[in-house]
Amino acid sequence: MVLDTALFNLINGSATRVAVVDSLMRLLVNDYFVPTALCLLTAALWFAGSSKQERGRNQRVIVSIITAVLLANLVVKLCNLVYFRPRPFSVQHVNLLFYRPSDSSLPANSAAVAFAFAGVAWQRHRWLGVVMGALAGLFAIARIYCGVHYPLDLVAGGLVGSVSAYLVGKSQRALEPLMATVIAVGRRLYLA
Amino acid sequence: MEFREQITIGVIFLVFAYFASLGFWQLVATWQRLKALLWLPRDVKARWGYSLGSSLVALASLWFFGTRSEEIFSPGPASSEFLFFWSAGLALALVTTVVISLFLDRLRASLQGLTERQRSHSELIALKWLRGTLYLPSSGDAPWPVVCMAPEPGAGIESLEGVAVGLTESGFAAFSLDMSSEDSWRYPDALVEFPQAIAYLDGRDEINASRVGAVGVGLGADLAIRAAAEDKQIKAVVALAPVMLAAHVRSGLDLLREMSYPEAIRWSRVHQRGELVTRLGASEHVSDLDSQPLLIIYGEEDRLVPSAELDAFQRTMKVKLIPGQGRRGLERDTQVVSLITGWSHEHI
Repeated sequence: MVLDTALFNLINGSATRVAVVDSLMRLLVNDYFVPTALCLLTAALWFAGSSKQERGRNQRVIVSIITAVLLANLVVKLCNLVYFRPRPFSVQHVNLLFYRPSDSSLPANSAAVAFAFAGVAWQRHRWLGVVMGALAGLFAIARIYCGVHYPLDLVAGGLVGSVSAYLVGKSQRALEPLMATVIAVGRRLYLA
Repeated sequence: MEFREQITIGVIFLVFAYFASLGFWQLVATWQRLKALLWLPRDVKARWGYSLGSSLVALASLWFFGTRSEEIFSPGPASSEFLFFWSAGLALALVTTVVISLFLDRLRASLQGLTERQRSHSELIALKWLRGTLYLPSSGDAPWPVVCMAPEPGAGIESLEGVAVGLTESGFAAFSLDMSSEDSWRYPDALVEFPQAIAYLDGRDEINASRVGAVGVGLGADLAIRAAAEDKQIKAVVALAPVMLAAHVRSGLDLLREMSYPEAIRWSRVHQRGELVTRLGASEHVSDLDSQPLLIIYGEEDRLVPSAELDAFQRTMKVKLIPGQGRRGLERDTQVVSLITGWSHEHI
């Protein structure tokens, strides 16, 4: 915890010094920019592929991503029921560049969701996994920089997201009926 | 934070998601060449489509992230709420994209049709047993040879106006069958369309019914091949993008590459009902056309007929591929119109 606080102070301590960096971090930290980018990348993947088979594989990845995100969310909610860690701004002086969220700081829901996206994508498309992983990483750093999370919260969140992605990746056979149904509905609507 | 304020932020995010998604759909439509979603004409260079899509995403982002900082930096929809608003924006934008694309497509087609109509002398034929439009040359001596034409199911007769104008300007009469209702495509009723048209044209003084040709588009081309196989009065056939094999009847996203959303729905309905392609058996009846020259035309970018299949057709039949063209709109291509008139001059 001491190391966690020290690292937080180091990163958050550099906030409000360079206006451009602050603006960039405020863009990255909010609940909309990175999630929207991740969702758009995922939606684009739905259409990628020159053949029906290739598209089918990509569309299965999307169903896996959604499942992993829901699983990660569920794990975070369960953790919140048994453990509450106050936000950094509640216990010490911080350079706060964001609003004051009231839920538990650990594990970070934002990191759990972003790393669930990146984790599933990494298993199927390395390049997409790298892009989504980079976005998730920037999202995580921005959360510390802006004073809403300790580094350990994000590590825990990232771990929840990555493990969810791994478990979903290992449960492809069990998920197949769901994937087939989603793709069949998409084909019926001429969108798959 | 009050529930009402959260809803307000959610709605503002929905507006952003909607406009950004409009751009997203244009990017996807350009990337995957989805005719049903494209706003720009298909022959416009892809970079314009990408520019349009990127500009919409950029403008929506500038508005939201640049001017709504008060809402962005207040507790708003997160996780599942965020996904709900985002999905709603994406879905609403998809519906808008389809509607705008359809409107623009129809506007372009009607503008083109208006020009073609101004150049043609047409007569609407509406009998109990036959409906269509007869186009007659404005000059030259009757009786004229005639080309009987069947459009793609669901396409209006105006879809073949360009071909009709090309033919009349070359001294042919043209009769475009009205097969816009799905009932005209019931099997075996569809088989009488060509014979009834030829019987009607036989009774017209200005038509030389000993010189008859047949042109068809899509399933209409399958019908034209079948009609010619059974009626030797038809001297030559031009088949534009015939379906030929049941395996070519695609579904899903492939259809949106070739046609608008309502056309895709109609295509699926007609092709599911009665397994018309198999029953028309155009690929089997090609061998019955010994003395009737057949020209098959496909767009090089036709997504419904696999290229391996096209190669097989090319080995056994006279097949012409039109560069840069897909399936829909093939009949409006000037190169296709001149191929039809040339083929008609040579063989009818």
